[in-house]
Parts: sequence; structure tokens; C-alpha cells
Amino acid sequence: MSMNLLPGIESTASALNVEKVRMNLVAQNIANANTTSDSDGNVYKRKVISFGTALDKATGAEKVVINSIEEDNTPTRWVYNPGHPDANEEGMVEMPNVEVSREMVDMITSSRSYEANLQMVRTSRQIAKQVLSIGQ
Amino acid sequence: MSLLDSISGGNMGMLNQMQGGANNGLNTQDMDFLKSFSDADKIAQDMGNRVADGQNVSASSASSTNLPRLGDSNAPSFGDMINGLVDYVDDKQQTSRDEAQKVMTGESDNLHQAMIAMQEASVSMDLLIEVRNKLVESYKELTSMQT
Repeated sequence: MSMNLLPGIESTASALNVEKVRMNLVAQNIANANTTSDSDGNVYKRKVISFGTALDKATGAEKVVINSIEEDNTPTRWVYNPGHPDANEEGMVEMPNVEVSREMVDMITSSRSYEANLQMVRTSRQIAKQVLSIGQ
Repeated sequence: MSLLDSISGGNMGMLNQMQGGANNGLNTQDMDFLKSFSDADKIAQDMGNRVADGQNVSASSASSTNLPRLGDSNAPSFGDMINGLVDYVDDKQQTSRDEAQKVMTGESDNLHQAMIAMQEASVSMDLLIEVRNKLVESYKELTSMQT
């Protein structure tokens, strides 16, 4: 018996899921804003996420899914710092292409989006409760 | 789920008594109540689907749906409906318990899924209680008919 008491809950739950992953990536980007040498010895590249939709066959709802998580290919920054362990022969160090200010904007966007979806859950629940109290 | 079983049992007993009463000559109006109850459910569900699809909801669209009529042997009985509802609520509560346990044992970190599952369980339980209340109400209405 498939019944949908809370309207739109499938889509909302999937959106909360992907926003959480996006928030994870933002945290990862900010944390690695100064990582010059990852496990392969390369400079850290900013990670970007893209979303897609998937049809939920059981409810007919369009759910949000993660299309891909890729590396941002904008150029990295080169900084003159001859004392740095990862500096090359000319004394230049390759720094990640992470801009913390941009990550902060992404973080706020993601957090607001999460809040909007939470509000959707709250409203759905409120509607269901109000409908059930018709008889009282 | 002893609580749900007892509610279900209570509802079934009530239903049988109501049907017995209806067969003993208290016919049309009481049965109309049951019919309108199941119709209302269908209409509400239909409208819910339309809202979810982003379509316009109008009264005429709801009345045009093919609703099962009482006396139609293929239509599910009211008892089946109640049993289905109880199963549904039980299922939701099981899911909610599983999700909460997963979060608490660290198997999953999807807090929102546990919370949503709990909300769904709570709302479906409320629905079941409302249905029970309506049944008790109508049963009392029937028992006070002779006074």
C-alpha cells in the first residue's frame, strides 16, 4: 500500500541528502585551501558537484541525485616562497585553486537550500496534522 | 505491535457490529456514512496526487474519478481498508525505528532521513487514531438510536 501522507517528502529527502554532500565538499575545499601536496604529490584541486534529477518510480516524484563530483580546472595560483618544502627550482609553490570567499558563498547557498527543504518538511507535516484535526 | 493489533481488533469488532446493525434494518443512512468515508479518502488521495503533480484541483475533476460503490463485489471491504491502514502504520513505525537505530549505532549519518521517517510514522498514526475516533463516534451514534 503506497500512500503519501506528507506531500513532496520524497523529493525533499533527496534534496537534503545532496545538500549534505555539497556541504561536505565545501568543508573539504576550505580545509584543503592550503594543501600543496595531496596523497599523489599533486596540489589540491577544488571539488565541484553537479546535481541531476531521477524519477522515483514508486511515487512519480522527481528526486535530486548527484550527477558528478569533479575537479575545478581553473588555473592554480603560483606563489613565490623559496623556503617551502614543495617549492620548485625557481622557488615557486603551486597553491590550490580554492578561494575561501567563494567557498563561503557556496556554504551559505547550500545552508539556505537545506533550510528551505527543512521548511518544506515542516510545512508538509503541518498540513497533514491540520487536515487530521478537521474532525475536532 | 500489540497496540496496533488491539486497535485493529477493536475496529474490526466495531465494524462487524455496525454492519450487523445495518443489516438488521438500519439501512441506508448508516451505510452511506461508510460509503462517503471511503469516497472521501479516494477524493482526498486523488487531489493530493494532483497537487503533487502541480495540476489544478477542481471539484469537478474529483467527482469524475471512478469510485468503487457499495455492493460492488470487486470493491475492497471497509475492513480490508482498515487492515491495510494498520499495516501501513506498522510499516512506517518499523522504518522509523530502523532509521533511528541506524543513526544511533553510527551505521548511517542521515539524521534527516530518521527524522522524516519519524514524522511519517507520527502522521500516519494520527490518521489511524482519527479513523478510530470516527468509528467509535459513529458506533456511539448507532447505540444511542433507541433512546
